[in-house]
Amino acid sequence: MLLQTLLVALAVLPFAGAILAFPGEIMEFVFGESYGEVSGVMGFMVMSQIMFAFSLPWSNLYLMKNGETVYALANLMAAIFAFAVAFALAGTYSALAVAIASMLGNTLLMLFFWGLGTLEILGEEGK
Amino acid sequence: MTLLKVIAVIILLFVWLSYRKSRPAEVSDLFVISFLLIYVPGFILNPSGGSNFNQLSMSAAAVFQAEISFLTVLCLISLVMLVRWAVEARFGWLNRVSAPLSARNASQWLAVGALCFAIAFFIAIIQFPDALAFRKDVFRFLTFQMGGIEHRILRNSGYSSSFVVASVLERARYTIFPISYCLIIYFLIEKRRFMATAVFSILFFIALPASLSKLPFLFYFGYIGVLLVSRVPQLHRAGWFLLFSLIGAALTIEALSILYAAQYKEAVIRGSVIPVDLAMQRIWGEPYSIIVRYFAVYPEILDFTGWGGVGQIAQIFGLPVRKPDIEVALSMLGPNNGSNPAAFFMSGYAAFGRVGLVLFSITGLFFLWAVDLVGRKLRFPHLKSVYVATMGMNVLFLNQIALQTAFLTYGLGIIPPVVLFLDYCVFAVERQSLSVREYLQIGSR
Repeated sequence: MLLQTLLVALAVLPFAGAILAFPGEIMEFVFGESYGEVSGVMGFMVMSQIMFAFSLPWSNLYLMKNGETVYALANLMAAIFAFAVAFALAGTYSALAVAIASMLGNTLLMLFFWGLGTLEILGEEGK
Repeated sequence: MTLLKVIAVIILLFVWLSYRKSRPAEVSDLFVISFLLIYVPGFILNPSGGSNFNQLSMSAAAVFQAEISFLTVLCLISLVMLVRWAVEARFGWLNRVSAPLSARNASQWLAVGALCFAIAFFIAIIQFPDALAFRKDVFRFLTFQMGGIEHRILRNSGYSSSFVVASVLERARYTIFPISYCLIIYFLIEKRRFMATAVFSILFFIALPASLSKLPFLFYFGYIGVLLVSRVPQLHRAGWFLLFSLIGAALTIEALSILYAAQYKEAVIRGSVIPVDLAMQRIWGEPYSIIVRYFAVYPEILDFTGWGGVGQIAQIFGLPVRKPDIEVALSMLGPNNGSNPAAFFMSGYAAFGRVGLVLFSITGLFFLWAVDLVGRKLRFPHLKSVYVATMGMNVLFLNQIALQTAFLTYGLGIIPPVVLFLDYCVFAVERQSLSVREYLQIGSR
């Protein structure tokens, strides 16, 4: 699991780092000049994707060992949480609220799967 | 230059992970991980050290000197790692980890002993009126009953003249207190009393290591975290620690960026402030910026401090004491801007220039090797966990404090002999109850 997560980190972090370091330039290069201004939203979206990537090794493991119910419940919980945050912040932060909500939702997902995975390792140790 | 930096970092990572392969994480690993995470992003992405926070513009010469010196330190870390690898391969006994011995009741009576010590210490210090007043202030601080101005005054100068608070408590806070704390909670965790661990942690924190800053909170959480991880061999690997630190760094960026989004709401909505960018500048821009400031001050603005800048030695030999961390803050930021402490080798640079930087780096890195060797010689798993937790967290101070200060005030020179002594005591007491198999193990060594 360690190797899988480190590989995910190795694959994701350089790209994420580049987008975080040069958000305006990358948005302008990919989508055109008028999109350069939304680099504030990009930062949160990138963090959101980093968190999602970190949750992947554990969540996929649950899918592979018949833990679909846990997987579905965790995703449902994250979606409801993200929806509530987006709804609460939309009036103040408009598009930024959705980005923040997505980031917090994926963070919750990551913490859930990591917590569950670490507890399993601790449990195995206690046997 | 950027390519050179990336290559130096990749070499360091390669050497370190190869050396660490298939062996439990040790104290020095936590230093390497923290050092890489704290300084390398700023070193590569923001070498000028200027940011939205400090608004500093340092000379090109200072920036270049800082880059070259930091590259030198990265190469020195790789080199010392290679030396360790080669020497340990040649002298196998250095590499040998003591076979774990199981002392039946040791964790219990060590916990009771630590608890008695903690209670005795608490009773002793509240006999002093200034210590009692300090404790009450800490309680007000912890329960949010203290205003910002009062807090600043009390924290900066309120108890600086009190011997019990400034000398005894401050030195015990990261040395004997964490050892006692870890010994007690190890026993509670072993018995799976998680609620008792939480309650005891709060009581212990209010009663003993009390501080008017938030730093001890972070460290005492860290002691529990590392203690938990170090009990599980599967997680007790440098790779896992690296991964947990990466996730911790990502979570810190998130938390800070949300705080900034709330603080600068209007500017964020207008798009003139990018919260994630600001959080990254705060976390990674500032630590490396402080290193560049040392090169902008010495020798451009002030002469090197010589031995006068190495606190304890200056005091012992009666030299006029100079404080590089305060001198740098004064020269670069002006008065009333606190201090600018940097990584442990920077006090060497402030004292003797590049030679001092190299000497302090090598001394610090070899000292970390000695710390790891002590860890390998501990015979009882619970003391090993306590050692890794306390020293593993305290080596983080090397990222922002002079080597000699970390050695005394932050316990890097105190914890190893204390834990070694406890290990010897447990061995002496439990000798009779060790199993035949364990006796044979000892005999065969």
